[in-house]
Amino acid sequence: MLDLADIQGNILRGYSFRHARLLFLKLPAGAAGREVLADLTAQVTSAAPWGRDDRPSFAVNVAVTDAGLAALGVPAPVRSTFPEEFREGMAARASSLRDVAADQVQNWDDGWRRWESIHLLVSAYGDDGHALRRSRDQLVDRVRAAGGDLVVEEEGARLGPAGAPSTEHFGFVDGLSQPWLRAMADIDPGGAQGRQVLATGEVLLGHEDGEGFESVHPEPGVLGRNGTFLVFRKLRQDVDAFRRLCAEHGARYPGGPEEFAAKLMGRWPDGRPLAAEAGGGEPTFEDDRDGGRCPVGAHVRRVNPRRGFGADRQPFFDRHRMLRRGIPYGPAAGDGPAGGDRGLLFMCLCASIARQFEFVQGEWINDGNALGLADERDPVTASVHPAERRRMTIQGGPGRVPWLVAAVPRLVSVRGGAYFFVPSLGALRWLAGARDCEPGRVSLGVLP
Amino acid sequence: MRRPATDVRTEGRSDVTETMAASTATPAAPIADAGWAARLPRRAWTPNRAGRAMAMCFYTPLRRGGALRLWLRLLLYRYGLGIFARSVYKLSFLHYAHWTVVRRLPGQRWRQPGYLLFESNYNGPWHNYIETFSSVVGGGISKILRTSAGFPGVVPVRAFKDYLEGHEYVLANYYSAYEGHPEASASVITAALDLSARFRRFAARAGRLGPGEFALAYARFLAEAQASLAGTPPRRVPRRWLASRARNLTVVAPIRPGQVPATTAALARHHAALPSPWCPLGDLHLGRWTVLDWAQVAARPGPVQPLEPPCLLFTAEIQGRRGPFIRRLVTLTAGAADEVWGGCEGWPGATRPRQAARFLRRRQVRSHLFFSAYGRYGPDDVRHALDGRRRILAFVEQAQGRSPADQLAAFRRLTEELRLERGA
Repeated sequence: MLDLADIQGNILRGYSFRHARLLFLKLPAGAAGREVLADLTAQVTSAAPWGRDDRPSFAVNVAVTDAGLAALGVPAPVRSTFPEEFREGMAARASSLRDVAADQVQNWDDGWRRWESIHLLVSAYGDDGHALRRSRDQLVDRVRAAGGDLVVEEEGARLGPAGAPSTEHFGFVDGLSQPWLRAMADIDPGGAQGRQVLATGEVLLGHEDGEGFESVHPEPGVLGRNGTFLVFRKLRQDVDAFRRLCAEHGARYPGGPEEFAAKLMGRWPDGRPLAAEAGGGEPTFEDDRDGGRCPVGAHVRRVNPRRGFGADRQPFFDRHRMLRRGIPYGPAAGDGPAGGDRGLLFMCLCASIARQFEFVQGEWINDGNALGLADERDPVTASVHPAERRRMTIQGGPGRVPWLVAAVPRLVSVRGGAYFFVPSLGALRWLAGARDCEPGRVSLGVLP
Repeated sequence: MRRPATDVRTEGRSDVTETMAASTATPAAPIADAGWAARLPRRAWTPNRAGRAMAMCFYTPLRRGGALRLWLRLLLYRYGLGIFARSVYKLSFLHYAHWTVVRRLPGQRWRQPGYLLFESNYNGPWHNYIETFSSVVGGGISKILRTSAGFPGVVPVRAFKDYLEGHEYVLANYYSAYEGHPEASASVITAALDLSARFRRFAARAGRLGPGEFALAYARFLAEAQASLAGTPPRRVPRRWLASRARNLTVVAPIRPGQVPATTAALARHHAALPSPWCPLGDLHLGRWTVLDWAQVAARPGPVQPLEPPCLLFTAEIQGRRGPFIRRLVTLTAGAADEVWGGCEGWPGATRPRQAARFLRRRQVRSHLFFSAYGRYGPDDVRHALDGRRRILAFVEQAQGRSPADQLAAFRRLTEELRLERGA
């Protein structure tokens, strides 16, 4: 049984708030930083369910970087129990992610080039953008008064009318096919309907993972239970380039521009799958292994191959799933030229950044070998050099020959990113009360 | 050599200067904490990488009675049921792998019931490779490895990884015949070989057709070849693993006292050299040179035991028979062979090619199980197929959506170019 009051609120279920403010903060060192964290901890939204009547007007969650742990006085022996990729940070992991130079830290947005100064991510969600702004001002004032600073700030908002499914800037419904954690069955028995069920330890630390063992977690135990890791990646989308590509190829492609765009993405813009199952559920690709309906290299199929390589391979693929919690940023692209800065504030949660996020990004998105796609890369989100034109094969089906997309331009670029640890509420309190310890004198497993 | 503390297995190959600087093959020094610039991807020495190929060299002590059981198991896999073979062929990222029972190394003084030498050549990061191996052929691999001391099982995979890391060697030199083709992963090579063969068959009959008939034949070709356009057609499992014309060659030679630094430096120079001194060997797919200077002992768990004298392990995948290959090695690459084996006990020198060939032949260790992904195709076939694939894909991209007459004209231009190249 999950202790919902100990788990941060955006892990098990995504919020439906329309606005998000992500504050990437530098904390004052030592006791002052812990005081700030203690104040924040009192406001953090837990996973305890709320009803229709007591839905809060906003929600706050907190995540911390390795530098943040150091600033809070967490001793080196404790920090060394965190995974290597978390301690190194996204900027230093470009080779594992197969990010090209244009997507690496030296070319990120101004604030993000100072990623080493980021200690804390405070994500605030709400439906009232103005109220969110006021809360944000208060928090930033509090942090600055204590000697900290706001390093970067990102503002996200859902696109489309309220109540409608959220879309991203290329015009496709986003956030579909989220997996469901097994332990959630106690809380919401019907929630797993039509969704992939994952072992709880694939996301929540300290629970049984896909291999049937407790997932690897940091020590002491209070840090290693009910927490998770969060990947943040600011992805700028080039809507004009996407539209040009679809128009150019759509003019010759037998199915026209809309079907061409759907083949790149692997879904129709309204979210309907290309390879719909007979019963109307989510596709498994088991009867579309050749890619005749949904191309093998389409974006949604790459990031979640399901049974496209046979049912026996699914347990292996399930070890690379994660929960996505992204939200678009920037103004919606109208029908005219769509210049300007817009994209996705990509966030995902997983128990192992290396095994889950980095594997998907490095092997399935930025390479094709592991999926039997040779040197092809994801047609939408792969990291490619600005001058490079990658190729994608749209497999043919009955009465239709395969189509080679000769020159897919760079559609998405990375503008910033970082790896965070999302502590449980208990761990946040532990961190807020952690005293400076000399390395080597910390007693693992004993709360201060 | 032991694996360096710095994990270099996921990083890109270094340039010549950096490789030369690391020619003594000592582990890379930790990078000083000088801000984010210092923590950017390190261009470290990556000896276990050649182009897209990664190598794993694993040497583990067997349990008491393990040598016979392992030998029987490998024999069963080699000649018997094809379940393991079919599973291994599913691993689209595997170039070559071999399993060898080694009874005793020349410098080994302790009692030990034998070792398993396992080497594989694959694509992708090491961690992913092990996870896939554990997932897809875990059962078959378990049956092989449970003859080894300390094998924890393939699940949980992290314990399996720890076990492998404890028995893995760092290569001193890794040669690949496909390094000039940066896209040449195992799946790309398989796709290129299949696509080229299909295109040859199509071209043989399509050149004589009129535009209308050509369009129909071309559509049929595309439909049949589509698996090879993007990625990998399913690999055909040969009736027996031995059906392949590729062979594995393993040579173990003890190194004379004090000669390890010179040998290692020579190997590092060869690793960095472009073109590699081993290029003249047209029948060499992949070659690996490893200095074995330590080993685990099953009876004495704990620190590894130094091997005195250390040995030079040379393993290679070659096309054709071993004897002629060895003769070519000591004649066509005599200088490099002298540099590498010059420090070994009893090396007669490449100026005496018959004796040098005999030296290598007599120090061979026969592999007991060998997997080759490319069957009857030699390095030249593979390189031609990779070049041809680039051309064919460019042609398909240009031809789609065009009129049959335009397609036919483009097709004739392509076949003419390919014919001229073959003639040249």
